[in-house]
Amino acid sequence: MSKFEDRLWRDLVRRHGADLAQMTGPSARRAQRARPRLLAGTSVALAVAVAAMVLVLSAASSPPAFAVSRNADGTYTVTLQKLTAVHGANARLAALGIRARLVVVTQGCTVKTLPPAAVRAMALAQNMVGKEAPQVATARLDPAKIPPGKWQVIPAYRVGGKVHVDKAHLIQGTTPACISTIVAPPCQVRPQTVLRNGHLTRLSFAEARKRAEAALATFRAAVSRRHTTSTGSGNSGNSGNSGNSGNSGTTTSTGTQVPAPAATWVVGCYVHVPPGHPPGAGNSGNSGNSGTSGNS
Amino acid sequence: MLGDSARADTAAPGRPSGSALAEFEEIYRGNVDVVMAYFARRCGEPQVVADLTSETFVRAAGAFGSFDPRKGSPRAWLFGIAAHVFAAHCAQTANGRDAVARLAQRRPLDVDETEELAARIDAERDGRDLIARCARLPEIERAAVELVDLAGLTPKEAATALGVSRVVLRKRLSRARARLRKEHQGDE
Repeated sequence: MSKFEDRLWRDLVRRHGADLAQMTGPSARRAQRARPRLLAGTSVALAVAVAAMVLVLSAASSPPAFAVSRNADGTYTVTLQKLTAVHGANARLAALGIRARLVVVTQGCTVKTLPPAAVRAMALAQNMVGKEAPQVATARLDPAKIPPGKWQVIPAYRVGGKVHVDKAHLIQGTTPACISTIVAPPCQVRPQTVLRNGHLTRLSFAEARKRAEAALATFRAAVSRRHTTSTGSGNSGNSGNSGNSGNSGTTTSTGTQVPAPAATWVVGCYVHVPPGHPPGAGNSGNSGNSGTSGNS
Repeated sequence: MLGDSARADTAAPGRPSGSALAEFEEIYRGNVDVVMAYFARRCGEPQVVADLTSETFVRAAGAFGSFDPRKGSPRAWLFGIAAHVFAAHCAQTANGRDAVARLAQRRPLDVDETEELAARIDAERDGRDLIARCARLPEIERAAVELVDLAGLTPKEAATALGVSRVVLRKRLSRARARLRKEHQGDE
């Protein structure tokens, strides 16, 4: 794969990864359509016997890189061997109608940040590298405990070639495309009120922009620092990135769009191009996040 | 001509195929080379080749939900999209507008990528010569020669990509090859 091809693939994942990950592939759709005809020829007794067995759902005929199994108490256990199997496991969870998804932890992802406890767990896993790190990561989830309108997000990451999953978190709305250990600045400047000389003062646009850019600089420095310290381990490789992890800060950001500012400038994960202005040189379109990623 | 790897345009049996993303990735990796070569035979500018290739896959990713493998191979489907993208590019260029740059949100290439694509364009020199020789052929014959003899599609796949029946494609291909052969002999 050439550099251009790799970069194009990352762009595609950033734009369409989340949608594709939620979608069933053409081959799987074909298999689903064929299944009723297959079942029609078998006896009902066989179907009942199969249904009574412990339900272990995994990738069909290949070595299973993931499994979603139902336990006797109604909970499910998700087992993951490879980070790239996240999408397969998610497709299986979707097919089962479970509002839970595995989400890859990506450095520099601007969508959602892991809570401090999860970051500590990652650090712990990092320290265990070369000792007795588990070969297979498992997570247990109870669909009955996921409130309506909420999703359970299970962070998945790789440290030293081993896959890990962290404690699941409930989130409101849709599942993020990726999650990060580093807090990202807001993608867009929002009206901000600060306490100045004892009075609540609304920041001017220029001041808000200046603050946002300072936050972005801090964020980039943090990402870069984290990337340097964890070279060769953690999530620095992009092998697990073939799915919807990428650096898809755009996924969430597009959902919370506010009117574009009057000029072209960089804030957070976006380069804003106001209507009527052609995408300029440098960071064009919404690819501005590539500078902040550190995961490529 | 295509190597073995370039024929990996169909999902390998036994591979986990639950997620559309995994399937799309397989199609992308198996076909990005030939799609890029398709544009490299038409354009001499690395940035344009990059834009058109990007636009093809962006459109393909957006339409992957409606892709039906029973109607044709992924490669034939991609070449159908690529042909539309190129036609749109030509039409817009003729109008003085660069639609692809707008649609694909043009991403400037860095030096390494430019060199890679320039090398790819250079490697397609023979293909471009052949296309130039086909200039006098009707459009469909030119496309048939390119898809089958240069891009390595089977006649069935090429017929799907061009939206004609297999019989028509075979006839056109045979006629085009005969004409090219005659011209070549005439040159000698």
